[in-house]
Amino acid sequence: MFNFGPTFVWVIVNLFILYLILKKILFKPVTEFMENRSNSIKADLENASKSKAEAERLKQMRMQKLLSAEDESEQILNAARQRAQKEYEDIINAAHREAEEIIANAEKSIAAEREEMLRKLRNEIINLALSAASKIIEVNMDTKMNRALVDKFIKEEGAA
Amino acid sequence: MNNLDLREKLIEELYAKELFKINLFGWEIPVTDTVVVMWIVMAFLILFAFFLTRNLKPVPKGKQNLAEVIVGFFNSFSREVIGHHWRPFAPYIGTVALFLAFANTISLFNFLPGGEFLYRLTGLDFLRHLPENLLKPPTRDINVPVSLAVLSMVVCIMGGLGIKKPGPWLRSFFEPSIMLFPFKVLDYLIRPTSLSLRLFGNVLGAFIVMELLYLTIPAFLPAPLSIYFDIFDGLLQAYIFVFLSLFYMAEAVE
Repeated sequence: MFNFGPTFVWVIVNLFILYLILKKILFKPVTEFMENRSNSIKADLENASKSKAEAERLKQMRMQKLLSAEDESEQILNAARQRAQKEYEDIINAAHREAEEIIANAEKSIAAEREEMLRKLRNEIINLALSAASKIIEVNMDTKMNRALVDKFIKEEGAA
Repeated sequence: MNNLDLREKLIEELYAKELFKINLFGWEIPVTDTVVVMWIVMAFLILFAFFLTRNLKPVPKGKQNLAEVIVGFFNSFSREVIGHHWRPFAPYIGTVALFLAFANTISLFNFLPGGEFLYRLTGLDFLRHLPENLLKPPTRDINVPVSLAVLSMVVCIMGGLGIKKPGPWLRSFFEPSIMLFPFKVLDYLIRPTSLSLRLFGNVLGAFIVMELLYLTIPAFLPAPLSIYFDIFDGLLQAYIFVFLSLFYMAEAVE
């Protein structure tokens, strides 16, 4: 119990050896391992927050691009709509003009035809009148002078 | 059983017995059962540590958790007490704490077969020298607590010299006043004495109580008392020894 001696030296030597061995196989590797791990976790977390910020930035950028694209498409649509409206109006106007032209031409040709018909009718009436008159006066009235005379008469009658 | 028998038996249990001698460089060095038990504890701790730290993985599992809890406990314990310079002290503190924790509670394992049985099992001659009730706490032998305390003081001095540098360390003996110099020197004698005697007295006392119980009332009663005297007291004394050593080291490197 109280006898000092070689045991004292034994214990110190043993403890020193135990210290060296446990330090080498337990304390040092596990401490280093845990510190490396916590460092790498720290680095990973930092990286994660960095990439998160980057993702946020990209998201904002995409959002802006999307908004500007929407604006642009709106503008393009509006421009197209305006152009279509203008074209529509042009086409309508051209059609109106054409129709008016056609109507005017038709009226002209109708008038000309009417004139022609009236002239033919007049000639007919002149012929009829002449033949009727020649029957009446038994004279060949088919001379140039008589014709002119009748023509004048009918014109006056027609105008009346 | 009369009182004389009891007394003799108790004293026989208390003394460390010389089991055999080792011939080293012509010297016959006696090996007591204290040293043999210490070897057993050491072998167990080394195998245990080796087993725990095989292939460490980033995500701890099973035994690696245990290794990390043990090492992490001593690291944070040292960091709390010593502060910035905890690194060199944690392995020493951990070694002493693990050794003491197992050494103080080793009498729990006396149910394991003794030397004679192992000799018959393996045929190894040296096992025959081991007695039946070998596993008694080595800390009940004054050599162990004293050498532990001396080692702690050596670590304190080395820490002071290494971290503070010799000049400031020597100067710290005269601070805050030169009047304190004798007391500061006395510290280095009183502290190891108190460290070692506290450990020695507690373990020895617990050991005597338990041995008396085993000699007089061998059945039933020793079991609950063993929980206190063998487990709780042993672990508590290991903790106190380690904590005070750390505290002295913290003061030395402060």
